[in-house]
Amino acid sequence: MFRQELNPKEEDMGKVRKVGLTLLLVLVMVAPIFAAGQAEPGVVTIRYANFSAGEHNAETLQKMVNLFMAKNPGIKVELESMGYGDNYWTSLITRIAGGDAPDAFELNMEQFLAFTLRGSNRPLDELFTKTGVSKGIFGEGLLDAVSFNGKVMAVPQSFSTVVLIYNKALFDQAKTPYPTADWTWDDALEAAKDITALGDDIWGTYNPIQFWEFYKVVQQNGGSLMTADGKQFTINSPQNIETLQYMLDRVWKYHVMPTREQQANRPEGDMFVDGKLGMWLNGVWAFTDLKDRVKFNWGIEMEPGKLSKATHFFGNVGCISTTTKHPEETFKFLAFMASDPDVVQLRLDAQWELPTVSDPTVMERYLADTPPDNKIAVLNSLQYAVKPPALLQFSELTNIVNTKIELARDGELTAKEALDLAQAEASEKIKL
Amino acid sequence: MRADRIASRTLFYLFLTAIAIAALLPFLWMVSTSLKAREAIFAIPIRWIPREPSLEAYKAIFTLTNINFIRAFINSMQVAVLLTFLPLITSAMAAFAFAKFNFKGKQVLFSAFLLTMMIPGTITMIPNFITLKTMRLLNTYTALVLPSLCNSMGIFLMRQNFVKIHDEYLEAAVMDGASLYRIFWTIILPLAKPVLFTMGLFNFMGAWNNFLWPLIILTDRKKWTLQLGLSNLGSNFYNYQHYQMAGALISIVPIIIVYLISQRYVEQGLSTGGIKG
Repeated sequence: MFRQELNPKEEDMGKVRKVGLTLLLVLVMVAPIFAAGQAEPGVVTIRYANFSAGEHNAETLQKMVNLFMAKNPGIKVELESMGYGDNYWTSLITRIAGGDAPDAFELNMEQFLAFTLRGSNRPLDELFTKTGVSKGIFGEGLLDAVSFNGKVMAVPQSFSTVVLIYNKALFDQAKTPYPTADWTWDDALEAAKDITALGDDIWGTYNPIQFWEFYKVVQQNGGSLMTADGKQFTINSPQNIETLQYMLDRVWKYHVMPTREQQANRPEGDMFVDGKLGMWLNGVWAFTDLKDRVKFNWGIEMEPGKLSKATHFFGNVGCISTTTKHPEETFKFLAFMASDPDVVQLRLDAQWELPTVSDPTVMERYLADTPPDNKIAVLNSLQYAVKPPALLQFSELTNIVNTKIELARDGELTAKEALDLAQAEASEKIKL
Repeated sequence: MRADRIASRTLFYLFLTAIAIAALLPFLWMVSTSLKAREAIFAIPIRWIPREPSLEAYKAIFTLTNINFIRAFINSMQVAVLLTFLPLITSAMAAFAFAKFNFKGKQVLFSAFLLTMMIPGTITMIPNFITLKTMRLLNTYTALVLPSLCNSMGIFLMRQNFVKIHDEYLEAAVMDGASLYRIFWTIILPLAKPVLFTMGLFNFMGAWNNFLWPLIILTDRKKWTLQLGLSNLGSNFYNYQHYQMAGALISIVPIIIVYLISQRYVEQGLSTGGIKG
């Protein structure tokens, strides 16, 4: 240690202050170099956080936004585009929590309820009236899907249904008939067996064994996860056990679907493109990619059911932050992005999901665009669309059920054991 | 005796080789993936040497829509350089004060600094975010740098080193009329070279690989760093793993260069600091 008398003297301390101040000054001077650009006068700038374009449709998104800005010179849109995944949610949630929410943000249907319940987006009915945008422009049922407590909470931007995509070449090779709209589980299983018999690492079908698939498939078998009044769980009902058993049998009994080891982390899409999968459930978003990459004939059909049909429906919606200073401009933008004819055409050209407008001529163009043939299956599937169970502790339920189903998938629990466990845990931990 | 020795040596090297292979395998996969076409990425069995190797991914990453790779690289560089040197200076100055001066509340202040090391970064994330928002610094590089200026780990590491520098050096300098700054720049810093390099390297690696904080702070894609850009390529139904691997491989280069430059000092710094990396 310095001896006391060698400690800083007054003149030294003066210098300390001087240097400190200089550093501070430099910092202050440097800061603006990095600072965000200033807004132009008379122009309202709105920020739109989004994920669904990714790199793949980034250009299309930019074109749509440019169209909007050309037609609305008083509004400037700053895109805050990210890739799909945890990145987006982490960044969005932090920014909302930190009080820096973007004016508009995109959510998928899975997250829509969670954000709405937590009050991050504002109701839009008043804005519909104010701006004169008609609610009638949206396809049937789509505004219901984004309503909460009787209020419209988002502008539906795009939607997708999930269909059965199949490899016609493998079906031909196995001399088994193509799927039809009234196919049942049994029909699908028979075809899958024929295809699997074709060779090593060729699989009849791929249907994921997890919560999201499960809550849909149980409804094909007359089951559900909760009673109709939403007061009790019915996770381990006999028909649900039968359903899970059927899902597991595809892997462990009939071997028409790969185990996790056999799949070895390969994305199902790549396996399909490689000609290793006969049937694959996936959304219409896959069409663009398949068109580019698939070298054999392929087709689509509605997903097979059992007692009834049940299909997945996905959608991306645009929400307006409760904290935005420009709700009207933001609403105008979101409505434009969903319904402007040129924007809709851009979306269709890019095969970037389906537009949410009800205009039938729009859909005609979509249906005529092949491959695949039989595109009407995409729209017909919407009739059987099912929603996930609605409850506040949705993510807990997902977690509880999914962990058990995955144990069953990997052969560590039977279907009954897994669902009994899930039922007990859900009833204990979740308040209905 | 000799045979024994050879046997144990052989075993030892076999063991080291096994570890080296385990460490290099993912790296090899990266190289291999970056040379593949998208279809071949997940082919099973893994084809370590791509059937039709192509530099397509390396070309493609320079023409992406969402991210300008060169710009992101420069951004990353800029951020990493700022985050390497600025905390180094602030930490060294603070450490000098803690190591060589007596002032009121020194112990309390030092303990307070150490305490901040116990708080996980995720907890301070939102408060920091709100502070920077109030300062209107969101979406700026200043916001990336500012929270790192108080680096308690760095202060601690350097203080432990500075304490070992004999006071006689400093007293001699004072006798010769050297000012505090002169002592700091011409005596303390040169004597502390190893620890400066060590911390500089840590800072650089940390800054270069930094992800979560920039993710939250930077919303303007033009300001994105390489890591943000690479991780935001994918969409929900389209993967760009070969691009990501190509980009990641390029992004390793600066780290390797910096490591090679500072390697000699780092080893010294780690041993004298008595701290494991």
